[in-house]
This record gives sequence, C-alpha cells and structure tokens, in this order.
Amino acid sequence: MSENAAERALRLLDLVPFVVNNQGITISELASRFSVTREEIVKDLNLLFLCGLPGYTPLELIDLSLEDDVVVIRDPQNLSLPRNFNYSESIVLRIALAALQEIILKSDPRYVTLSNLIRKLEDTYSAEIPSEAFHIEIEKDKIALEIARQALDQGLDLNIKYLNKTKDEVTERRISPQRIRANENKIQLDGYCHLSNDSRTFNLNQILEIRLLPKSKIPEPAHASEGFGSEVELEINNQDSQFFIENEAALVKQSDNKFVMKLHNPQWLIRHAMSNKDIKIISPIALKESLLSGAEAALTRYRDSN
Amino acid sequence: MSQAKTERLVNLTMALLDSRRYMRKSEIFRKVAGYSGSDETKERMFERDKDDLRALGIEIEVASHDPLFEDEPGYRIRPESYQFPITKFSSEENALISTALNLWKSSEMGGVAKSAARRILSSTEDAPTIFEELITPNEFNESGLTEITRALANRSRITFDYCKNTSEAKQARQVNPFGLSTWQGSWYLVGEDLDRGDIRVFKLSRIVSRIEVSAKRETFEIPNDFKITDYMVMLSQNTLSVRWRIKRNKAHSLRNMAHEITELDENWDSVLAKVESLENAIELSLWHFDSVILEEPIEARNLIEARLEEVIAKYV
Repeated sequence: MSENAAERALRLLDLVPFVVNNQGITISELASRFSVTREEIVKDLNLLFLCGLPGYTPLELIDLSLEDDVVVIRDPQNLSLPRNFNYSESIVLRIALAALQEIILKSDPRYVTLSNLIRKLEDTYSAEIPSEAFHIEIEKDKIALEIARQALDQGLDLNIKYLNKTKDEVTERRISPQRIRANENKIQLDGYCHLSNDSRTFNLNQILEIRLLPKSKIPEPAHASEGFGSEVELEINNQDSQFFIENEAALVKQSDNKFVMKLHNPQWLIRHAMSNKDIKIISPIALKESLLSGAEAALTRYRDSN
Repeated sequence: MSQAKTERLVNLTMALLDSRRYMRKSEIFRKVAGYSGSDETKERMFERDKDDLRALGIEIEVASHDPLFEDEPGYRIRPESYQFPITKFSSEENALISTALNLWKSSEMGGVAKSAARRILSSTEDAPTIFEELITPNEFNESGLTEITRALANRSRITFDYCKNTSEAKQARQVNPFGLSTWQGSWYLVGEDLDRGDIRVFKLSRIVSRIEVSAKRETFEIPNDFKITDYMVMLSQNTLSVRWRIKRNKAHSLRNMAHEITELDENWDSVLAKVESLENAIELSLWHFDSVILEEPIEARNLIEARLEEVIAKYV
C-alpha cells in the first residue's frame, strides 16, 4: 500500500520533535528510525523547509539545517513536543503492556517500574475506554511445558528460574531434562540439576522462567548428599488435611494423633505449623522455640504497623 | 500534487495548533498557505484535509454555535490533546515500552505499534533496549484485532458473521465493542450485542466473516465501570481482594499472584492481589509470616493476629 499525503504529513509532523530531541542525528539514522529510505527522509526535510506558521516569513518557518549529512532544527515553531497517540495506538500500547505485565516476573525489579508506567498511561488514556476493558492472560505453564518438551525431543538442556516455596527463594538452574510426568493436578519435570549436582523434580507451575540451552555432560553422580535429617514429633488433629494426605507416607504413627517424621528442612515444618492450626510440634525443643520466636516477631510486626 | 497536499496539511495543523481562538474557514483560507482556487474548491480541499487528519487521530475541535462567530463554525487543535502528555520516560520505561510494542511485531498491528514506538521513544538518544528474554511465544497474531481496535478507538459499531459452534449455522451479529481479553491462547471480544440487547462474549476464532467497522464514530459509550473480567466467566474466580505489605525480594509466590505492586520505602512493597477466600488469605500470609504483613481486609488481619496469639499460647 503506498503512503498517502496525510500519512506523509504525519511523518513530517513527527520528524520535527524527533530531531529536536536528537539534534545532530544523521540522515541514515533518521531513515532507519522512521523505517524509510534516505531519499525519502531528504525529501521530507526539504518539504519541512517550506512549512511554518501563518505569515510564512523566515521567522515563522521551521528552521532546520541539513549539512554534512547531519540534521539540526534551530526553530521547531510549535512542534517541539511529540504528537499524542491516537486511540488505536493507545489501545495497542495498553494491551501490549498488560501482556508484558503477565510475562514479567513479579519479583523482577522491572515489574514495579512497569506497574507505575501502566498507571501513568491509564490516567492519560482511560477516559473513553476504561482501564478494565482489557484483560490479558498468558499461560505460563503451557509455555514452560512446550519448551520442556522441545528440550526433551532435541536432547537440549534448560535454564530455569525456579521458585522454592519453603525457602522462599528463586534460583537459576541448568537442568538436563529426563522426563515429564503428570500427577493428579500438577505436571512435574525430572532432570539432572547442575546446580545441586543431583537428580531433582520440579513442579512446572513453580518454573518462573525457562529457556533452551545447548546439551551438556552430566557429571558423575555425587554421593547421597542429604544427611539423615532429624526426627520430629508432631500432633496432627485433622487427618483429612492436605498436609496429612501429602505426607502420609513419611508419618509414623505413635498414638491417636501423634506422629514422628524425619525432617530435612526445619523451615518447611515451621511454615506448615504456622499456617495450619491442626499441626503442633511436640519435639525437638529447638524447633518449638524458633516457631515461638517467629510468631512473636510476626505479631509484633502486625501490632506495630497498625 | 500530493507533495503540495502534504505541505498544506502540515501548515494547517501548525496553524490550528497555534491559534488560541477558533479559526473561521475564511480566516484559514486567508492565512494558511496552500489554499487556492474558487471558494468551492477551497471548501472541498479543507473538508478533505480535516477528515484526513481526523482519520489519522488528530483531534480538530469545532465550535459551531458560538455566537461570536454567528453561524460560521470555527476550528482549532488544542495543544493538550495534540501533544504527548508525558514528555519524559526513564530509560527503563523506554525499554519496557519498546519490549511491549515488540510483542506485536509479527502481527497485523505491527505497523501501528511501530509508529507508536517511534513517537513515545523520540526522546531517547539511542535506539532503546529491548528485553529479548521477555519476548515469549505469544498469541498476538489473531486476525480481526485491527478492526476491533479501530472500532473501539472510534466507538463504532461492528458487524460480522459468527459461528457459535461448528454444528450451528453462522449468524450475522451487530456489536458495540467494549473490550478485549485473552484466555488460554485465544482472543475474546466482549460487547453489546445489539440484536440481543445484552452484553456477550465472542471468541475471535469463531468469527467467520470479515469484520465490518461502521464509518459512524462515537455512536455509543463504554460504561465507565465496565470490567471485562465480569463477563469472562471462564477466568479464575478469585474474588477476595487483599493488600499485603511485603519485604523487598521476599514472598515470591505472593508476588506472583499480584496485580499491582508499589514500592513503599527502601524495604517494603505494597502488593494487591485476589485470593479465593478469607482462610486462603490467612494461610498464605502465615506461611510467609517472616516477610509479610496482611493489611487488608482488616477482618483477615484480625484473624491472623488471633492465630499468631494461638501459636504463641501453644508453645510458651
């Protein structure tokens, strides 16, 4: 489709503030930023020489110079600021930013910048089309699954950012994937993890970012790295709870509601005991103490912030 | 010929933008370079010019019943509406905008996105960064988005043939578009179905004809409180709004649920999210007891304090 006179006029109107903000820009750079040929940019600039405000004396014309391939605008008249978006453009931008907000990790520092930016633009552009007229959801699980499958098919490695919910930390790992398993309601990826030098299982919905890497060698397996773990004694008062069902295999019954289990990560149990009122730790005492001091500190924080 | 028209359009825009008053046509013809010929020719030229500029998104205001001008309409372009309202973006904001607009790159909206990018980014010295790692396989190539976006922008009615499901015959629909949504990789239009007198959801892939956009503009208004998620019944039903205060770089799984995160100070962020229920809010907050304070709803906050007191009572 060839450009009509009006579309070209818009480019001329846009060229002025662009050069004002990029004084001394070269013709080639200008042509590439506006996606037209050098010849066209030169024609545009030659036409701009003739444009200005009523009166059209040198004082009222746009004053630009084009020397040694370099463009300078000395007087833009009233065109120094970029032209506003029309509504199609603002919709395109709003949808694109909403999509980006879905893609970007919420823990990414850029997320906050993005949210502020979206609000700033909403304030400006939501008069005719309310801010909640758009809703963009990107299926991250599906993207992760697609990429994991591709890695398996082609024998590639993966780089993942993985969220560990107990440690509340996100780690970046290189994985040599071995298989994908679908359990009841979660999809898991088994593979050799180069960060822990051992086989690991990852829940797909805790993979925050994923990309392909070239294949790499899997080193000799390390010896069973986890220690024995310590033994804890628990009281569990609701044996229909999710906690009980998920951990049934590891729980050794002592009496009606008392159980013993081997524990590798004390933090994991502290989080459960804090958020689930049906669990009580009987021993060891050290664990009870850290639970108590954690609860006290949290309560203090709540009261202080009131 | 078209060179002259381009020049005239630039001059007209500049003159209307410069004028503090509404300019009458006679004044425009006298003052703005490029208008010549018989009155009738000038008149025709001006009408075309005005429509062309409007079609490309430049708002020209008309004051037709101002007693000062008797019955002759006056025209002007308000600088507030012509100029980009936010003049400075940080380089990170610029990069985010470029990255976002790049999502449209290979779609039918690529050209619109590109021209938007050029203007918003015209204050940057170098071509802005694009965060390549954020460009994921995406769903931005559905057809029909161009027409719907234009119709939304102009508040114009659209008509199309729609096939509810494969076994049914197609039906002609007339719709006032209100908004767009994606779900599971597909695009949905929500709008007022004029024959059914109700707000309906349409899956874009089931539109089986071209989408015709009416040339009439501003024929309806989108209600101010319109929320597309109220009509997208297939979306998750988390309905309880919560506000957490979260330590910087902590409670990642809560941050992943957020729809808004704002920085409070150097250590804390404020996070807005939706959860299933009060119990759900309490559990999530207590799981992250060491890095999170639930601030709203106050009801849940009180329950959390009570639960913490219980824990303390259990272990003292």
